[in-house]
Amino acid sequence: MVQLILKDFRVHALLVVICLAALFAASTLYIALVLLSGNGFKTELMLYTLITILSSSAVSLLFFIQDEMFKTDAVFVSLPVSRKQLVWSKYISSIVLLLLAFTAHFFGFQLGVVINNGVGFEGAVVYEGPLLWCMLLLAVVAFKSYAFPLYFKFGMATGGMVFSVFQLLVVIAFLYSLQFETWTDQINAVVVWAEQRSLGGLFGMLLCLVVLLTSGSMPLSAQLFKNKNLGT
Amino acid sequence: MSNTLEISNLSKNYGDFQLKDVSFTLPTGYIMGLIGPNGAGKTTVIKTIMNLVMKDKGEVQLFGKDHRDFEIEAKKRIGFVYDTPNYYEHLSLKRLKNVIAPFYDRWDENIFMDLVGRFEIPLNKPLKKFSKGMAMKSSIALALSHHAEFIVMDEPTSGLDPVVRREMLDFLRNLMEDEKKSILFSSHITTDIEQVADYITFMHKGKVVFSKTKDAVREQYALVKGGNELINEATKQHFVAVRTGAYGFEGLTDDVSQTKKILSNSAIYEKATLEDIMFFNNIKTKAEG
Repeated sequence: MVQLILKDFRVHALLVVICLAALFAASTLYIALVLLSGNGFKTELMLYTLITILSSSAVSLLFFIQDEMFKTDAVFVSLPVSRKQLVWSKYISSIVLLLLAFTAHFFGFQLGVVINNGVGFEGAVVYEGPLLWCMLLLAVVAFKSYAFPLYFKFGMATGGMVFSVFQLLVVIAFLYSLQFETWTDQINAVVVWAEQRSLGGLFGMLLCLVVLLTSGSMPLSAQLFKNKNLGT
Repeated sequence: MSNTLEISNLSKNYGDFQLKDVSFTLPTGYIMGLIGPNGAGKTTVIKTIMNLVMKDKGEVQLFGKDHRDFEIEAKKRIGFVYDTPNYYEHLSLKRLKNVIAPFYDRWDENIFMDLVGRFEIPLNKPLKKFSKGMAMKSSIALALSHHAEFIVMDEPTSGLDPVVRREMLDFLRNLMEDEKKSILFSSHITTDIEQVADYITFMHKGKVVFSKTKDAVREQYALVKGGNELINEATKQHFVAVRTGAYGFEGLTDDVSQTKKILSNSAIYEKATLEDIMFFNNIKTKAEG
């Protein structure tokens, strides 16, 4: 299975580097420009958070898209691997990509702050530490992981469309919730909550997520993929 | 004699196409040609063997074991040649090899380099710049470098020029010097099959018309030619199909001795080629509606 995970990174190494560099550069430029402009900062930082989540989510689908384009599932199923291994490897490489994407954004943010000689806004202080980014990552993994069975069932195009509708509903719900409280206060409250529970709490969340994935979404995807006709 | 491949009562329904009770056996150490016109079901059978397509019923055994229960073990011993390696076209053969090789415990770099040298394949050129022949040779080099015992090839010679096709067929013949190897080779180019195959399985509209040794096929079938006066409803029964023209008839018989008894020496008997067999079976199927 390790080979299945590595093959994507071997084949698409350049594409991965380009995507991560783009995320890093986008974060740096956005933060540097936003912080320097000093206007409408709260709204623009909220927009930044949304873009971070959506762009990382898109990058995590890179290998799914490539597999669909090149029809490589049929090729790799004919190698000495099982379909279950293929499904699990797709999950793992997708989560690794998500982790890399958030890391690129995180360091992009830090560079933007350095260019501006400081955060310059109290609400954005939490973005300087890794805790918020880890929590964002876990939340996105939890949310996205339940989109994977859709891809295995319907393919990238239809599955992607169904998932986009779900994603849109969540974004609308999120934006709606912002009417009731300042969003930066909400984020700070979540971070404070996590800090109170220390790293052990975060580790517990991670463990719950892993159990949720390995006993729910992954077996479901494997079952859906098991009887799928490939290369037809 | 052990069997590398045993297929029995394999069925698959796609709605607009059905594979119906396909059964045949490939003994170890032989080449089997899977022939039939386009849409006969050859590729579906191969994809089922490779577990790319799920069967509705029937059994597929590889090396004496169920192909799904022992999937990984079986695939380690199989070399699968695609019609063209049209995936990851931006990669060079060297990089593609680095992706494929780690999947096989018995990958042999010396064999790979030997095949690359023998086929004169450029290692560092992107696959998208390869000719069809070069792409096919690459596919074969990748499929044969892990000491595969069973080589499955789906239309390997289609679209190749005659020189490369001949090279490919010579290569397959040489490969069979190793008696442990078996090859399943699908093609609608019957002359290729006639040159290399020991066994022939002829498929038509999702069914197996026959599966037997090449010699048995040669003995069983004959092309019969003669005057139209020899053909009537009674004599027609002894032919797979007959076509008549202004200068006489031409028909395919699958019972040469019986046909000779009926028509005696009034007709001319010629060896039927696989193309003749395919052609007349097609006429028969059309006539049956």
